[in-house]
Amino acid sequence: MTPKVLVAASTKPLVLSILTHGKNYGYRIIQEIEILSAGELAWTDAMLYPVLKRMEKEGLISSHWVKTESGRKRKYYEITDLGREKLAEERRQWLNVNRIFARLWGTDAASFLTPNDAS
Amino acid sequence: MNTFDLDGALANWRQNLVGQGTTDPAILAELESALYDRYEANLLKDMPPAEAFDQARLRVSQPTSEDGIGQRNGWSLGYLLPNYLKVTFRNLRSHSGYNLINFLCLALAIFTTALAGLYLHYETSFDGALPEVDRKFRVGMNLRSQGYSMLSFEDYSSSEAATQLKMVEGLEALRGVEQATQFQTFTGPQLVRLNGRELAAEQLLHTNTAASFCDYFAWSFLRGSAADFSAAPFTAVLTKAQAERFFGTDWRSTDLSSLTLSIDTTDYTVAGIIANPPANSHFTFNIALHQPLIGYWGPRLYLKAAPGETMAGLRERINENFSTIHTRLAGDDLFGGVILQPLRSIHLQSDLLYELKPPGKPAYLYLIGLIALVILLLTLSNYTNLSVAMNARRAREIGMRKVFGASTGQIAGQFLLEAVVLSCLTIPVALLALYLLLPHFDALMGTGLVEVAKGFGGYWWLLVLIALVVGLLASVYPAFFLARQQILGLFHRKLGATTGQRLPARKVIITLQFVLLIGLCSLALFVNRQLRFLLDKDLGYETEQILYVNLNADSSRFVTFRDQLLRLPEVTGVGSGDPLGQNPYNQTTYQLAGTAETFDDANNVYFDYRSLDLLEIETSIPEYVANPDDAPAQMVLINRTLAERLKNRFQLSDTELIGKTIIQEPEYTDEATGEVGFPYVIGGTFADINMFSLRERVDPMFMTVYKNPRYVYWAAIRYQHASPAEILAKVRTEYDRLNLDKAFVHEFLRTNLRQLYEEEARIATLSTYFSLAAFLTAVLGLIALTAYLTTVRRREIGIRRILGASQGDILRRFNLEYLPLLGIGLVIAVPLAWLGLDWWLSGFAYRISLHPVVFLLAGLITLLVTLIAVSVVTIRAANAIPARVLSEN
Repeated sequence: MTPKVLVAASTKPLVLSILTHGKNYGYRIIQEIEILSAGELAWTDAMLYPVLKRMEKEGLISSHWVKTESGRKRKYYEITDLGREKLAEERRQWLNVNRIFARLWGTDAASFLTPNDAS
Repeated sequence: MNTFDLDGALANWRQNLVGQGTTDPAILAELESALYDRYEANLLKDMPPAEAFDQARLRVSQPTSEDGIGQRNGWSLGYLLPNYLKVTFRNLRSHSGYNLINFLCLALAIFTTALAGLYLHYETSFDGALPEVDRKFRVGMNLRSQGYSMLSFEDYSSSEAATQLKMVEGLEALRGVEQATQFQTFTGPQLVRLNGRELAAEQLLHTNTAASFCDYFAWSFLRGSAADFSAAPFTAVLTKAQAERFFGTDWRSTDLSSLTLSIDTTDYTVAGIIANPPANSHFTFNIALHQPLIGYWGPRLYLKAAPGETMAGLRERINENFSTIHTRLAGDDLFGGVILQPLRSIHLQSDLLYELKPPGKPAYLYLIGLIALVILLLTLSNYTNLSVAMNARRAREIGMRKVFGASTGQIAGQFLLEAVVLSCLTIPVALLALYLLLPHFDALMGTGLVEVAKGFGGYWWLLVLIALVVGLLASVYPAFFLARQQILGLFHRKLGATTGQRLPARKVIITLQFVLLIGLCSLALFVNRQLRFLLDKDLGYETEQILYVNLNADSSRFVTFRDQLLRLPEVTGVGSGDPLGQNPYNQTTYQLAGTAETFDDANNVYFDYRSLDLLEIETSIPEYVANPDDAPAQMVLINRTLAERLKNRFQLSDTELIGKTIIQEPEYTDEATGEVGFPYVIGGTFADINMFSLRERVDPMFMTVYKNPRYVYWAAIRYQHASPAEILAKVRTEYDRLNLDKAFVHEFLRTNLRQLYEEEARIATLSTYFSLAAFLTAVLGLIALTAYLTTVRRREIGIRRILGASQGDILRRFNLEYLPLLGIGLVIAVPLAWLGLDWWLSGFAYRISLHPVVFLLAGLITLLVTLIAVSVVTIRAANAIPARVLSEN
């Protein structure tokens, strides 16, 4: 299970990333995250919607209600220009971290052992 | 086949979600949309509709805390709080008059609760700040049938320096005693010369164990040090207050090393200045003197027990080894063992002789706490009454909130918040009142609350806590009463329409108010009556216009002084002897010569014949009192109580008793002559006099009467046609002319007697003030409630007026609603107040009886106040023109 801090830190860039593929709505965002993480990340609706609302307030995404074929309403979200800028920055930071880990673990995993572990 | 009701299930789900606090409409709409998506996805998996919905509901409704934003409760409160506050202030404004009354009552309640809390804290915190106080004890003794707060030295006042230290050394040598120290305080003023000034200083302290004295009581040295003070005898330490008297405010910059403090012919080096002893310490002093000898017959003795020692175990060990500590007392048959008192218990629990400060009385603590509680209860009931009545108009608001999904808790929260905001707004008012009134309270009660409040930072947080608790308590009933109303009922009827006739809870509360008022009123009446009784009771001697002056002079100087004073036209008599109106002191043992029975409960008093005359004490020797020159040089009289005891015990008549020999202290035998005790011939009798307060019964008493006493400590002066200040000035002139004692000390007998009842007088004043505050609270509440109810019932009053009811009829009708409640209040209050007062009065040997009329008077006062309050408000409503009132709706 992914730790809470990691979930909290990754929610915003993940939502922005999904929205770069086109506009989307809450339920499908949750589904896509579940599929992409092979079930590791299980977001709940009650967690996601306040996040979406806050991101909209920050101008990272925009939303509009759409009437579905069945006649009921569904809210769709789109990434804004500001959101794209934010995502680019987030992407740079995440890749940076990823690069560090890749170098550390890919070349010399033993160097990560602490003296206690080694003994 | 059952069909699934999707709309019904959705409505339920919505209501649940709102009940859990999720009330942002935008989020609700999205969650609902997500629920549909999940439901439809589940249907595509061939789930039955009900199960599909349940599964979807479980996922969508899951609470979460993944990133902190979704934390339901915090988010909900954060979202709703501004609205709650907005509604709160709107409602406070819309009923500003009634809310002002609630505000005043809450402010009064918070102020009295804080004041009572501070007072109780002060009284129960005596000596609590001393380090390791739980191991510190004062050593007293049982002698005859009395307990003493001090011990005597081996050879009383004539003990050598080494002998005076024997008790301290003996105790410190015992297993289980870590430290012992001793001192004695002297309350009377002495002339002290220091820094070129000569001032009378009171409360001097002598110690010959300076090092342990400083260590034991942990005095805080602002200048100098404990080492300087204890290094050698004839050093002095001043308290900060005393240093300011001698050096002014720049005492910190004064060079102490060059200073000498002189008392009479003894010089002391000033070793330091310490912080003033705390007000909540069981003793106080202004100057401590390190001397080789304590100038008194005994010390105040203290010890510190080793860790793990119990008081009982230690006392037993001291008693077992007492011969190594005090040889004389250990061999004295009258000695009944030592008394150990934990330092913290001295102030409230000590009833020993010669106490250093007048001890506090737990009963009065209960009383103050009780009165504060009464005011608090009155405020709570006022708020409850008025809040239920006022908010009855908000039925539609509550209904609308419920329809939109608000839970009972959320609606109750709104009302709780309103009360808490109101009570928090009173904090500045309560603080201001405390700031202004605490010094007056200290002056009235002889306490040091200002000092305690300054040093107790947490107290102000406690005030905020009190405000919060009072606010919550006040609003609990109205909040849940209003919040639990059924929605339909809220729209069908107005709560206001029923407030006059129903709501028995409010009648219960008003009855409770009457109980409290009648109880408090009875208390104030009886306490004041008892105090008046104590001050007015015939004590067996004249109490008015008697002045005592210290002389410390031999007989011839006294006679000169007397003759000088008798030349003053205002002075009608001058005598010598013990001042009356004292605190109890030690008693003596005695037996009738030729009998074997020894009694141990008599007091000795000393007068000259002239004193008996000026005090108008009734005796069986009036001829000697009228002509002292013809009287014997000395004779012993016994009081009626003792005469009756001896007569009954030994079957004697009055005439047989006179001339009998009585032996005082028969346990003592003179080694040189072999004489047992001190024999006296009974020369006559005198009527019982109350030497002490009327808390004490009159015990047997010996009065030794002299024609010309060899040494006179106190002169008694009776005067007429002069104010106390005038006679004092004239006596002082004669006193100074004869160059008598340097420190002129005087006492008026009336003042002495008043001081005996200082505690009662304080409590009487305080209970009167608090009762007035309680009355004010209750009356304000009653006025507000009646005003509100008459407003609600203006239509009813209008119709009654049109149908022919007079103003009197309406007044009677409104007043009669309170009368049965007052009756019930009286029935409940009287037995409770009776029990409480009976317990309080049982502490007095002489007391008033509990007369039912006084309780009725208390009921009558309450009735009168109620009638006036209700009538004044009702008459305004009844005066309105009926047609106008009816056209309003």
